[in-house]
Amino acid sequence: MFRAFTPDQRAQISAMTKAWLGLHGKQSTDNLTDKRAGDGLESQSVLHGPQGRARSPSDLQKIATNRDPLARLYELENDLTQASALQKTFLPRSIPHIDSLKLFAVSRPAAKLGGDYYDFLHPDPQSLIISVGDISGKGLTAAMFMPLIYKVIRTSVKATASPSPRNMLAYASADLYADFVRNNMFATTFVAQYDLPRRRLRYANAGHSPVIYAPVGGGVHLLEADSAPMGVLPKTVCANHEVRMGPGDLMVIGTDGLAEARNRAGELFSYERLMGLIPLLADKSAAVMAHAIFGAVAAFTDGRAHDDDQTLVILKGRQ
Amino acid sequence: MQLNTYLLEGATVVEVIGRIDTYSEKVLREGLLNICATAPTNLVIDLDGVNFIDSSGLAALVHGLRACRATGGNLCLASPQRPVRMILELTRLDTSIDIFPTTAEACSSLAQLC
Repeated sequence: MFRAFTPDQRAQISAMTKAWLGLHGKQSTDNLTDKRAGDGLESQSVLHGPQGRARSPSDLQKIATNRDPLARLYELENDLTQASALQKTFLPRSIPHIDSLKLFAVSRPAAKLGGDYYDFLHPDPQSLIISVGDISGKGLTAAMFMPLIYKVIRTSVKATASPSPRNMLAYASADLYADFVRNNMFATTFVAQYDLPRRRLRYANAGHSPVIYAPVGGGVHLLEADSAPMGVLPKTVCANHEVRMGPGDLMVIGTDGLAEARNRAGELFSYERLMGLIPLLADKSAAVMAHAIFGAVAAFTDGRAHDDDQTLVILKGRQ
Repeated sequence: MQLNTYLLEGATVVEVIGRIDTYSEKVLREGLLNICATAPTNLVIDLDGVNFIDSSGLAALVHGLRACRATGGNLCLASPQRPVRMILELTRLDTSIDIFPTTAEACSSLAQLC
């Protein structure tokens, strides 16, 4: 199912992991859910002058009141910046602390706004709900759909008589189908429900990948979807599946922006490379693993800006 | 991205060449909608020349599928390259849209449904 890395590639990943730790430090790997990469274009925006220096508020006000094309651009950039800040509020501000499960999550939109989302819900002391989604397209259009999905998934927990991942997806899909069709969109979605006392994770998958499961001593597996994404058919019919999340067991839930990242030759990073990273990083903490995966993708693409949103949610069973 | 269109066994074949992504999907989507303007429409999308498709491209295919079915017809895919086929399988869109190894088989299948 996947190729092993060559010794050179292993050395590169190891060096990159060390570089990440050296740059950011261990402390900065905690609670990064509210930190997202910028689009790197701030110095080229209308908010900055010719030498890249930030324009003063009074200069910006003059531009706005002149109503020239630059003023319009300023307004648009300002709107996007505010929208980006608003979108960040829909992502978890912090990661829940679970005694038996270490969690880490980070999302990097390709532009100021993105179509990926993830969420954690702790509806009762016995369970944790994790959802990850990827709305078709990118940028503003996908971003406008993101709060709808995250909110309806949350609502489904209370609205369904016996909330299970399958029932939650069925509820959300039915509720949003007309909106998806009207806007020619769909959303791949993965919902998991972790049973804290039993250390079992039940999940349902509507067209989402990659979801990688690596139990201790059990190899690396790509958990396949059993239903098309939400928005493709009037009803999303998934099954509930269950895996253990014992000490050291690992689940990596990503979005396709990782595997579809391209290098200068146009080659894809691919699911094979992504799955090949897991055994190399299985003994690392969830945070280090996430940074190493992003680092590997960045190294592959030679540091070029990614053109699709990239999200990682990592679950690792604690001892 | 290029689109070439021709008729085969009563179906309209749309040969797509290039990438179907967020930048090109509008061309495909509008092209499919124009073809589906006359009812009923059976459509085969030949993906042999497509080396990449992203979620926007998949959304365009789904849109085309809905448009065809609204006319009383259907839409199939033919000859996807391995990377495209993998995306269709991972997203389980292969359970919603029929996929055939060749355009001829796709057209024959649609003809049998008429």
